[in-house]
Amino acid sequence: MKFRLLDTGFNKAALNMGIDESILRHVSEGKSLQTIRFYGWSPPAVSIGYFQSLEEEVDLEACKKYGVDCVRRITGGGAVYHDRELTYSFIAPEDNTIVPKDIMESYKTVCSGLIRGLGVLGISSEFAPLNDIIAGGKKISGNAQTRREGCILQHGTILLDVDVERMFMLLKVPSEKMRDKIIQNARERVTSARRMLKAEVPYAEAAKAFEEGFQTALGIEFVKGELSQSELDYAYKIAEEKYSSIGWNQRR
Amino acid sequence: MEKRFVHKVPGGKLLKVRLDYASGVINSLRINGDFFAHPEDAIERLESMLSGRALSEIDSIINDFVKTGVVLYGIAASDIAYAIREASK
Repeated sequence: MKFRLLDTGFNKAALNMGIDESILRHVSEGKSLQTIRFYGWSPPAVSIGYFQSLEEEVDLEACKKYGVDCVRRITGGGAVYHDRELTYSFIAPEDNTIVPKDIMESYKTVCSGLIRGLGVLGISSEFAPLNDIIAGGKKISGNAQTRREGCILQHGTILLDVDVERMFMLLKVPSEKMRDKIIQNARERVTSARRMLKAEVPYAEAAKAFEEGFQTALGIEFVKGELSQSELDYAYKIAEEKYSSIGWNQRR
Repeated sequence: MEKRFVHKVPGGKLLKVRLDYASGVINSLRINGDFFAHPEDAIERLESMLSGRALSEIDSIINDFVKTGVVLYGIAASDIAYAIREASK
């Protein structure tokens, strides 16, 4: 089955989320081929789940101080600090032949591409329902899915490196008293490609590995592509009007 | 008066309910958390369905809501009712 392969590199949070939604719209309208996209975040960013409260989850002052973007996703799930990671999105019509209609099953199918990709890097991992992938018993990838306009959009992150202290400078903790304990806890629960391999994994190397992972695990045939002008125009439009707006980011 | 309750669903996600509640009636509420709901805007629909209603009515409202084909992951419909009831105390 043919998929477009996109690598949009590093962008601001609002544009990253705008691009995902724009691709979804174009795939839904039959104007673009189903797509797997790789991307990164510059500056680093915090994204929150659709149902989270920005003020409750994120220390906005700290984000300002460190130059970190904040954005609400169109997918549920938790707050994520995006820094040294490879982010992907998988966007296809719901009636495609690769991914099951059932949401739980479809997480597993898309994640099988990531698990294979981690294998290419030399990391053994497994799917951990609901929406995580674990390596050595610790989380290395978090994923979130939405169904809209007859399409599946699943996006997620593979941690290449992790800075738990920085993460909890940006995410709120229930009380200062608990900060050390929460950081300690996160250190025990979260890992990264770097920790697993004791070596840096550059973004480009990871993207190559996950391309291979999706190819073999899902039987995908990739067509290297670019965003169309129409996709870019709509992505920039909603990056500004939706994903940069207080109305969207602080709506809950 | 605003009331809050945070419910960590065992084996599931976090559910945070904020309630404007007085004398048995939910004036308004907000259902937050790191769970998943499909379609997402169903939760906003549920919030407006529950606003202005008596606490004693929430189970039947939430039951009807689930029957509209909403799919929840990480929380169950009964967790929402539980968290609202706890928040109201």
